Amino acid sequence: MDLRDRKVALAAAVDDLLRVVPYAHAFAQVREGTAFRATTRATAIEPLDPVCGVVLSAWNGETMLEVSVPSLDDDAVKGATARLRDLITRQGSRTGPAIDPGAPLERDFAVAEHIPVSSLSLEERLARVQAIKDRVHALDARVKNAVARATHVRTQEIFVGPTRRLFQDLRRAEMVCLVVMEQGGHAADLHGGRGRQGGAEHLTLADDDVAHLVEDCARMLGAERAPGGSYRCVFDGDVAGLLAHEAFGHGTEADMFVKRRAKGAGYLGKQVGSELVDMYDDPSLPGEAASYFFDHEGHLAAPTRIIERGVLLAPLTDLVSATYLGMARTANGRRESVQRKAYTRMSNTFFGKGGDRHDALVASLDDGLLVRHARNGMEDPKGWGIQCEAYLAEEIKGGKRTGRVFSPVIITGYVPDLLTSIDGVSDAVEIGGLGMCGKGYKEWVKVTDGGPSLRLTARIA
Amino acid sequence: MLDEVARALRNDARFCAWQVSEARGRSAQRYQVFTRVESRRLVETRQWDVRVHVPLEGGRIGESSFTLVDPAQPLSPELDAAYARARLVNNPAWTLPAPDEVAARAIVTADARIVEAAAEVGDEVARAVEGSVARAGGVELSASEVFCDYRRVHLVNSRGVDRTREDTHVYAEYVLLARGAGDDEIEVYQSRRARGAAALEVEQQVADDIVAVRDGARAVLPATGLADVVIADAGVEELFDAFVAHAAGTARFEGWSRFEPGAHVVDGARGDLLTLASDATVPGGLGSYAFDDVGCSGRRVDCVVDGVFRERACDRRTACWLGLPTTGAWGNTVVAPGRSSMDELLTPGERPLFLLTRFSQLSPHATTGAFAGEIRAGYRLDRGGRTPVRGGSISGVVFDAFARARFSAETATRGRLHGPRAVRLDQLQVTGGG
Repeated sequence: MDLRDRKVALAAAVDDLLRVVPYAHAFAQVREGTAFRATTRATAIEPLDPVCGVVLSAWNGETMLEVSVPSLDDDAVKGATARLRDLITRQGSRTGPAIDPGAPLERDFAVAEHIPVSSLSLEERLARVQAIKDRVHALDARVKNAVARATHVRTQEIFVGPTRRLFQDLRRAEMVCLVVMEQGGHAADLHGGRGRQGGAEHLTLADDDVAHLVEDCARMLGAERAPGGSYRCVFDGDVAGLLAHEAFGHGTEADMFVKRRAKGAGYLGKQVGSELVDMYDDPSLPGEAASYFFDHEGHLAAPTRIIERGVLLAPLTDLVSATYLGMARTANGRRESVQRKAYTRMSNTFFGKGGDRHDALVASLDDGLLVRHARNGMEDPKGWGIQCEAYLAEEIKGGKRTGRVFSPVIITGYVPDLLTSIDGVSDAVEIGGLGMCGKGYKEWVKVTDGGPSLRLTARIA
Repeated sequence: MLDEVARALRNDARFCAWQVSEARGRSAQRYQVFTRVESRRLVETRQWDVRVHVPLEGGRIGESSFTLVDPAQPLSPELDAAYARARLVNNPAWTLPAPDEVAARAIVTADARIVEAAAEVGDEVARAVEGSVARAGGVELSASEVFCDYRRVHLVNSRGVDRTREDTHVYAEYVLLARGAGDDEIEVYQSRRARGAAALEVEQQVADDIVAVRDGARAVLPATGLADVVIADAGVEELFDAFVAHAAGTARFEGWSRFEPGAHVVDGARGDLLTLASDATVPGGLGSYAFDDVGCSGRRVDCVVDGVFRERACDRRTACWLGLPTTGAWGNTVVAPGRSSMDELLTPGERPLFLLTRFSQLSPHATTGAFAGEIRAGYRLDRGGRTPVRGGSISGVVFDAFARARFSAETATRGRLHGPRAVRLDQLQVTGGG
């Protein structure tokens, strides 16, 4: 299906709505893909849950009224328009801030596949995941379950507003490996992989990466918990990314400012971290898994510098939040799907690089931890508390690994304390491509995060 | 459309078994920021999910699925593609259920008011939250979101199963603000889910949250050390998740379940012994269902009784693969209460005692049972009274911590969990200040 054919019908719907409200737009989305999965005992080739539909939005001066239907055909769009007009009539018009529809623009965008996924047969794609699964088992007899999953997703989206007609065709591929091991009553699991925009060129995982994954998982078997307390740490790029996402990613989502749920609103222009800290959100990064050309409210993607030299500069915004706050729009108005509302959401969020070598940061620890393999985290934009979990920390004494490993590793604390303690930043940024992000406990969207290695002081639970 | 797909599948000799289910739904969504209704949304959904099996050599099967979202979508290419995928997937055989294996039971999973007037119910819930907060004074409603959803599923399969079910679901989320020390504000976040609005118990929940946010405004960081901890209310919701994961057939099939029939699920238990069941028949339960994704009726499965693992909960596929009875997908998690009252659980001993009711997330790890939760609300209890605490965290491994567990006699329903209102875990690691 070529979604571009729907532009005219959506434009007619928006024109119809603009007769009764000051602002309206339409957003259509088709998402489809396939996952190939090989596990120790079974295999699967399954299409991903498809998304197909349209949401029509109308601003009555105070409330964004929306109707979403699971179809792109003309009758469905006309029916949705009629239902939305009825809702507008019932809600009435209000006096409120005017929405800026943006400068006129009509463009189509597309992500290229260097190796089209369709150029590989089903057998070839299945063979790739089966080879990784078999390699995991060959590496260590303690593996109880190995999972390799290759996924490719194509998302086509149209935004039609009063001044804009935009289309984007996004393609993403990822390969993930999960290892579950057991020995002597101790179990451990660990996953890793990569995800990037593009095609089959990303449906791979290097043998060394698989080997390191199995090796690290084995080291976690029976690993003790680190005694709770304050530690000098080096976070690798993966854990640094989790910190960026949870620390000031969520905390600078402007819809949280509108709800007075973000402490950061009172800290714009103020120091919140050490001068070594730069932090960005950038949906325009070429090739990253969470990149896009425009957000779901028709704003073109561009980087936002959130923190510069430790000073909190700017929030991320969506259309309504920016309108209410009188702040600049950023391209962060995103929906889980047409079935859900747009909120301010992150895209690719990461710390900027510094000037140290990763190895030098580790060697500089007299007594500390090298924390690797981020698992998950939870934000607290109002209190600036933080909880991040990593699978693994290696003990460092006198700048060298002792071989002692702790797992899992829970990092808690007060965000500015963590960021202010950063006194070393490595010279290379790694961005992981496997992340998903919820708003609270729902509204899942694709994100990535990353960073350089960071040397800092952290409280470990 | 359902009939058309079923007819095509019935006439396609490539498939030895098939299933098609039609799901139609609607959702009314209301979002409020302070006193302003930020957004109102009406959402329609519909899709047709198709599953096919193809016979392979050696008694194995190939399988695949696909979803149609557009009735105008040509069916034939989708069937060809599904066949091409399925014949490559060489799995142990499993069968779809026959009508005599899926005894129908009347399970209440739909609330009539949501079926009839979802948007109105959403307004009522939102206004109830707003009104309760306004009457309390000194606390502000920052935001609320209320979703009222209805879904009807009609499933047929190649063995003659033909079943229909209706589900409703109401979700209410809100945030309360209260002034803390200096210019600081404190928030309390709440989210509840139920089949119908009454089960949300909005007024009582808001009253509890108003106390929590007021107390949070004067909360202190707990001290680091070993402490006795009573986890209560929202904090309990995730606490049993690792037990659920290990009691399910998937963990056994994948080779990582630590539970064996007849063996204790926790070594050296000195507290209350865990009794845990999956029960898909609890009236109005969020985890209740008339039939699961492949048409199997739900039932109660007493997985753990008095600390001993008895029976594994298995969906159709894993049951066939493991040679165990099909119990249906996991339903509600039902945990037997203990003998101690809340007051008894909250009696301090020699160590510091904390009552903790909210965490950022507790999420015990499915494989290892390791957990950690940043403390969002709670109290340190001593003979002098209660001191609110906030920040810091608790951590441990549920399979170890439950050796010293005591469950409250009082019970509560939170999400899919029906069980004790509180669980006391002695000698738990608290990491905070000092």
